[in-house]
Amino acid sequence: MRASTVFGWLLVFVAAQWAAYKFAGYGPVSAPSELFDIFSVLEIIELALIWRLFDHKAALPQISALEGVALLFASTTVMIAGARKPMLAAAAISFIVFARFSLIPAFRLAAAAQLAFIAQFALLGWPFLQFHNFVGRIDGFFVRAFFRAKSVDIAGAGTYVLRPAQNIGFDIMWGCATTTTLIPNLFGFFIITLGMRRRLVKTDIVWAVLIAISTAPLNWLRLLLICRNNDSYVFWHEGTGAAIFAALYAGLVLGAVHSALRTGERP
Amino acid sequence: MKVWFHALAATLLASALWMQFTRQRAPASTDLQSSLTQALLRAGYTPEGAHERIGGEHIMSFTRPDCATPMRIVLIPTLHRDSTQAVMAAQNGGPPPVYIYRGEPVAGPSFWSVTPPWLARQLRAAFALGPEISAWDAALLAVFEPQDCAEKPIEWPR
Repeated sequence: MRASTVFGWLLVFVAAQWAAYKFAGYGPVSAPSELFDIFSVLEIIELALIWRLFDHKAALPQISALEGVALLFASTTVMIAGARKPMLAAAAISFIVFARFSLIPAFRLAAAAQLAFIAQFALLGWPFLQFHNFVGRIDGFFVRAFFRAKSVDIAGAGTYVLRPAQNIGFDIMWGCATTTTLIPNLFGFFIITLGMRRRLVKTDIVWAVLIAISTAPLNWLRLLLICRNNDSYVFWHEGTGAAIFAALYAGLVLGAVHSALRTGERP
Repeated sequence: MKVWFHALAATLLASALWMQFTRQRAPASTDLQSSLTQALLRAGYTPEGAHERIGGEHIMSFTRPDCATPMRIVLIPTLHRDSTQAVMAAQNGGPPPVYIYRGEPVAGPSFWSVTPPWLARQLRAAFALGPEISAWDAALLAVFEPQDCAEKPIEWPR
């Protein structure tokens, strides 16, 4: 049978586990509009481009029906065994897909891109939390220094930013450290650029560095707004403000992709 | 077109997702609240006042006839989450809380004070050497206990 049939279905399996992970982290959904809070636009574009990445023009590679069925059953077993850890299941299926389909030239890029798509969530996970907490300490230093310069009440140390007079406190842990937004932005940039152009060029690094330089001040601005007072916390941490920043980051990444595609085409 | 392959893939995906859905639904956060309330009822406490929610955290107050001030408890249902807001609201300028993880006091809500017992339990459960993982494996309590009624120990739910 066609290898693309098997690849397509396994990609659906990976996407389903990714969606399960997103829903598990969010809790019950009461309105369809909440889906915009759960899934980021960049991630949807990345998934769509991964499907577009394999070479549709190459002579249709074939895979034996037995192997296709075996791959489906292996992925289902992983999903049932990792029922409580959807991202772990997604990573395992993604690895199976990479191990098999990177052997077929027409699928090599798509197999690598779907592994990278899942790897960005692994980089936000457990062993790397220590790294994000370390970056959070640096973020906390800047946020406290700003409030102190404005001679506003401020306390706290390390990742903690405390405002005793406002009776609020904020812990810049892994969830809000600069690297937590930087990793999805960079992976988004590289996967979307690869999806549009089918290869990466050296000058793409310039745009990646520009994304990194712009993400840090944007995140510090958000942290300052979060630590201002309680209403501001609710708006910028969970409310519309969080969506505004997500839109800003999406604009930043898509703008960088656009520029990279224009400049990178020249030899 | 291999129709049978599409049908097989769709069936496998649907059944795996259904199994995941039913298994994930099992531990609801109300179970944590009710088992906490029952443990405190056994120790002579009664729930007092409205039960607040700040972010994902629950703040509950309990009182006993021999206590002047009620005991406040912040139930943090997910480890390593940003619970500073709820803990500060419950503290309200008073002394800092005692942190309880699975019935035992821990040094604090930090990563390192909770991770060793959590990891040990996860590993024991993974190799079938210990009890099954429960909803309390990912929950932390910040307890603001008044000094005057600390004699009778509370059997914290595990």
